[in-house]
Amino acid sequence: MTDARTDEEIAQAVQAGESELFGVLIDRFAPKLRRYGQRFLSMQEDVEDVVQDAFIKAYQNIRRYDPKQPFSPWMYRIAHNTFVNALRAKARRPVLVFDFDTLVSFSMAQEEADEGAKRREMRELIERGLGALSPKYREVLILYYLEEQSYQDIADILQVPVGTVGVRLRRAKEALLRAYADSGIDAI
Amino acid sequence: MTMQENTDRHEDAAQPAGSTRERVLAKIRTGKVKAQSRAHIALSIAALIITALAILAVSALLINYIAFGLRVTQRDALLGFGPRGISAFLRLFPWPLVILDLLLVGVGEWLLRSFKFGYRIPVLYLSIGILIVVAALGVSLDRATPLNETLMMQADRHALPQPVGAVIERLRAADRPAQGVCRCVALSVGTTTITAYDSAMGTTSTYTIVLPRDSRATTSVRAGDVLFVAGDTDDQVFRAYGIRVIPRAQTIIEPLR
Repeated sequence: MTDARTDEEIAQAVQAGESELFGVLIDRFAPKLRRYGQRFLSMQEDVEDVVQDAFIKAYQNIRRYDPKQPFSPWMYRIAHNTFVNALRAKARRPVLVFDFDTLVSFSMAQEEADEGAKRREMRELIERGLGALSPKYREVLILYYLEEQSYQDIADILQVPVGTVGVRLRRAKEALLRAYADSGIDAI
Repeated sequence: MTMQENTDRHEDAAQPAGSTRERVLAKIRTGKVKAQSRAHIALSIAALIITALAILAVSALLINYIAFGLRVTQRDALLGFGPRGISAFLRLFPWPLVILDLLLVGVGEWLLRSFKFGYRIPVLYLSIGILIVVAALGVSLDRATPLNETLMMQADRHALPQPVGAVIERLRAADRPAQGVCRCVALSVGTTTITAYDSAMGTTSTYTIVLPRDSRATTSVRAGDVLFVAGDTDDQVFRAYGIRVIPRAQTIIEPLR
């Protein structure tokens, strides 16, 4: 049986002690987070465990969630942090902590290739080329083009200024096209 | 991983959420996983805020100490002594304290990034904002409150706990002629020289201060004046390139005569 309540209403009920309702949130978000995790982590075998860890952390911290805010970016942020920790645990070299893109503000230039055929084409390019990109660029491309999150939500998920999302997205696309060029594949 | 493998891997990404759901709910039901209580969350947020504020307060106190040090040692006078004075000012500036303060601001900034307003502001702007606030607080503490003068008097009476007392007392010995600057008391004033003594650190040394050629110091300095002098020391002769009479109200760290 499906629950007609919104994510925010269900999260509020879980905060009040209806812990079984957390299962509804898992049903709603597990496919999205599994898909995000597979794309972001570039590994198949551990994704299920990492997604499970993300839900456990979300439940442990559920009372930190503000029901006046949308639930989705909050859940994605916890998942994202869990994925980043999983990447760090697997990395032979430490993952760079400081990101110079967050140093100053950037003008909010919205991507132009947002609509219709261009967006579909971009999605296909991203799906095929993700493995060649660094996590910093992978995450923003996945969240914007594949998970269809807004700039503001991406900023909240990644905990960076919203202007940084725009500049990182542009650099990620450039890196993707470079990766195609290096592979000798015509991207466009 | 090739691009084609990457595509293939994502095509069967959709799996039933049932196993994840059951495993997570089983941990919740058995009590292995518990939601943090509101009290625990409130306490952890309060601890974070208090830690951030404490770090920023220490940072402001450090700036207050730097400002007090510059004021009472009269080193700011060096900025009016031309290029050599500016060079000496930069050389004598307490850079380790500034670096320590920047580190504290960095830690404070990192803690504030846990909050939404913190990560929404670019790192550089937030850091500069914090620095301006703590600098304004620190300088205000020095200029607008009797805090430092009170501490200095208590340090004189050895009434401050260590190491605070020692830190305040250190300002007395901040400048020595070997460093190219000295605070000393004029004994007699000649046409091109001033005889002065410096009695900091419990030992008294008498210097002959050779004045710069175009100096008007011999007309403005009186015996008994407290002087701040910048120059080159050669045995007991101090060849000055800058000299300033310290107003009596600002001589709180001068030795008693």
